[in-house]
Amino acid sequence: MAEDPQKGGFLKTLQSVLAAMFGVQSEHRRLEDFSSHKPWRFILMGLAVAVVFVVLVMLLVRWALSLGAV
Amino acid sequence: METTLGQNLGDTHHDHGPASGIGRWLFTTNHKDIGTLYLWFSLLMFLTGGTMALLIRAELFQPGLQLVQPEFFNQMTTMHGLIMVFGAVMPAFVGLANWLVPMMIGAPDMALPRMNNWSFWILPFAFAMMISTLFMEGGAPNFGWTFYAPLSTTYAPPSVTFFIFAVHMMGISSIMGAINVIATILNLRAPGMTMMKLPLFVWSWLITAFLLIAVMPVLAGVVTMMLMDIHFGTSFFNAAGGGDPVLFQHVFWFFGHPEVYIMILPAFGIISEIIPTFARKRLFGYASMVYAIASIAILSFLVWAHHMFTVGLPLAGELFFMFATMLIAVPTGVKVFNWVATMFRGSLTFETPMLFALAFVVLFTIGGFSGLMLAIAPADFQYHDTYFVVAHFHYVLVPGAIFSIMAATYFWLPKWTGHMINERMGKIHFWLSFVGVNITFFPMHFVGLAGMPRRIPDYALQFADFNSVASVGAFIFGFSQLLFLYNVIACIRGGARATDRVWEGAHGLEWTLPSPAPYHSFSQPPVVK
Amino acid sequence: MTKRIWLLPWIGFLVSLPAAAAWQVNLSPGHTAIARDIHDLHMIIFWVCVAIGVVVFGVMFWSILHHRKSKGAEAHHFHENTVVEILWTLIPFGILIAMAVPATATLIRMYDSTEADLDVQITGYQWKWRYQYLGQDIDYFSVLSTPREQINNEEEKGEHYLLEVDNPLVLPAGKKVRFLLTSNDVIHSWWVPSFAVKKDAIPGFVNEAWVIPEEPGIYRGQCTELCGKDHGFMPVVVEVKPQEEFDQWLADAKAAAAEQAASAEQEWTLEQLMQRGEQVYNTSCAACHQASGQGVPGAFPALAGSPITTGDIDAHIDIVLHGKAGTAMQAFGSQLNAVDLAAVITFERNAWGNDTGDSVSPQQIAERNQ
Ligand code: HEC
Ligand SMILES: [Cu+2]
Repeated sequence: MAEDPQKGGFLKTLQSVLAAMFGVQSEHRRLEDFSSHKPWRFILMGLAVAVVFVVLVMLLVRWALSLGAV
Repeated sequence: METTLGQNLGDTHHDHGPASGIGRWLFTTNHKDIGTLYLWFSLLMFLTGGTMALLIRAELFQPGLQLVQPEFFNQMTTMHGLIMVFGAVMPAFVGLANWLVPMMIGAPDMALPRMNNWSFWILPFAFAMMISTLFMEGGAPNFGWTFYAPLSTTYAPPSVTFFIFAVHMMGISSIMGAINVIATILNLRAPGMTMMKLPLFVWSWLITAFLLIAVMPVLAGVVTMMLMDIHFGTSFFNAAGGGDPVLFQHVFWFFGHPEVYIMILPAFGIISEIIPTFARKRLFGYASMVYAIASIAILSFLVWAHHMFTVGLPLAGELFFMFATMLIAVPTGVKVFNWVATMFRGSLTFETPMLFALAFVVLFTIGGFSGLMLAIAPADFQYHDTYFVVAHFHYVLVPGAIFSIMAATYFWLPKWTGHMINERMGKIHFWLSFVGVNITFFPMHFVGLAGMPRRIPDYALQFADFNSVASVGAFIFGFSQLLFLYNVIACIRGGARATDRVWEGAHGLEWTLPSPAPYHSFSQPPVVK
Repeated sequence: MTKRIWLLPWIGFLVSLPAAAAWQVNLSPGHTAIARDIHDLHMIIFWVCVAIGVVVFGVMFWSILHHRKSKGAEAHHFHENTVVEILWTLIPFGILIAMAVPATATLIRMYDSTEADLDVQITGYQWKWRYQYLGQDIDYFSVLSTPREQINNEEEKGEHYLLEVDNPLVLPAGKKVRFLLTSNDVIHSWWVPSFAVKKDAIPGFVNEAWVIPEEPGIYRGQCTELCGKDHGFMPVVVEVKPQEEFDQWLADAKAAAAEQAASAEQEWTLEQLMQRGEQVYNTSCAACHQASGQGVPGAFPALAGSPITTGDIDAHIDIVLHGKAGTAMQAFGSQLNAVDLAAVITFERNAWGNDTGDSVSPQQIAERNQ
């Protein structure tokens, strides 16, 4: 990747975190991520994605309940 | 994060060996000594908790009350659970971390050696206190290792206060151990040993340590609330005073579910070291493994109430925890596939550690399957608090966590002692354990599905046959552990000389050290390419 | 009843077992629509696991057999394939989502306890169940009826060993019955596998569950939440009767209750009270205070020679009526009728060498129980 690994955009961080939650990541991206010296980026993004995950599951529950009530 | 190790640390220490006599063990700040202490302590607790399990199985061999009364039976199930979780499995992993983490990352010792000494030496006192409750009036804690209130508060025997204090001490010990592991991994890596080169065992322990720091205070909180209810007139869990017994379960499982990962992640790490060694191939999907383990640190906090499907959660709550559990189970579950893919088209040999690792993969997966079944909330109404659950968590903890610890012991023992283990004896121990474990725990699925509740000292006649089978298996498994003890002692006292690499396919810094490893691991930081 | 079975021939020793219906390995399909649904879910997820297991273990054993060094296998150095990994993660995801749909539907139906024909309040006590038919004036306890001798192996065990009670819960077939579950002391859990009903009974909470029993018959289950010493000895027995028989039972039960009330008015001799008191003591008190009156040191006090059972009568009546908050000693004033209370207190004051000669009358009890 041409991009400066030190920077690593918001999107790349998000991608890495999503890959972690899904449990699959390529070696290539791993090397890139780990040449970053800012672990906080990933940790904060991880927490944020966890919150989003909770909200999504809650929406899913709502949806299931609305279907079930019909 | 590219810290190299402190120069003076190496200089002041590298020329003296262990002190002699008992003082060596009492005052030691050496990671190997402390690791050894942890491991022996864990083995002692394993045998103690195992003896209790055998007493339980002996009582359950036939219907009717033969050997013990229900009061004592409940004390046995409680103490067995507490001792195995907090006394055997957790300290064993800390012991392995002590021995291996500095050697794997190229450090001379742990980062905080004095705290290391303390975090071990608290443990024998905590457990001595807890076990002493067996001899108190009213007996030991008898409310199960999950100690649900109000059985553990309003209705508890007086010894519950000692139990609370012991849990506090264990918690302090675990937190100090965890801080030490984190400080070591983050600060003492050899030059060139970047985070991305860390062996998986080190990675898994790093995440485990964060989990420990996050949840042990929750456990301390819940026992403190119990203490307040019992002695200071509060009513956190006392319905008569406006409290909420279900709150206890929420807090307990908020600790308890991550605790499950605390007991299995280091096992993942160990298996991920052993299988590649004996397949002579690199671990398949190392990157995925690291990422998945890291995300567990967060996601494991979102599923606690799947232990509580029958307490009467609102429907939305049941659905939330069912969905979340199912979604989170997959990314961890499929890591089993990575181990299988590592073996595929490898060049396999089957030394004792590999046998234990293979058994781990198969039997842990069986435990994972029953876990998947338990996650289906409506079906859990039939499984919950029956022997099906007992079968499930024994499959993940005995041939899971404990087999991984045994595999690790056989794998690194030559490095620790300088002697090879006796393969023949190792294999006999393996096969007896493997057969014993399955005879013990597989029939428990059957009696659970047939309707036998857990934690009962006596049962209806239709459960009799499988219970006696399970008891026979338990005695086979239990007594074969004496072979383990024998094998370890024999390996310490002698045996064929181990080479530095020990195993043909071994990779990693620890194998570059001489066997036995010197008292101070890397006095000169190795250079990692 | 007792059959001799040659068991575990591979170990080569004989085990004698009192064997009833043996070797059940699976969940039974149950006797209600919900139970059958759950059984189906259970079987589907089971076969899914078997299928995954066959594939994974198949590959594993293939490697173990064919890729061994002793057969000259050389390691092929691949260690990453993101596509394969994504695939084997997505497939279980798909399967689980497919499972979640019927599971959610079943769960939603299990939670629909509206429009019940009959409400029964179930209260857990250490170690018995109380059944109150709401609006029907019927209220009784259900206690294990297996004799102590069977448990202590002094007598042959009966067919329903540990799964039998004095007064089962009686329900009408084909009607929707709603259960309101709560507890008087610790957490219990009321489970009848055939109905797939398992709900915790928690002090301070009222949980709901329901069942439409389909066929008349006797259904057995147990308490499934550790609740102290006799957790293993508080079974659940439900007797389902056809509607007419149920109505008859209801009428009989009400008549019996009225008769009970009348007996409180009559005079009771010390002997009558002692006799009845011993029975009441054995069903309601002996679990804790022991048949010998010696209690269990550190947990349950001895009543033989205790200052209360040999001292002031009113203090004795009070502790039995009102219990002692924060201990396992329950308030029996709301559990037993005046005659039983009078009888058991009289019994305690004269048994095991207490010999106070006191006799407590039902009227005395009624007075203090205001
Ligand atoms: C679930 C266990 C349990 C059952 C059942 C039980 N008790 Fe108790 N009982 C206790 C406990 C515990 C105490 C001690 C309370 C305290 O701490 O003062 C007690 C105390 C007593 C005392 C006071 C004894 C003393 O010397 O302080 C009497 C009298 C008594 N019970 C009578 C009865 C009677 C009559 C019954 C049956 C109708 C009964 N108990 C059933 C647990 C039980
Ligand atoms: Cu109970």
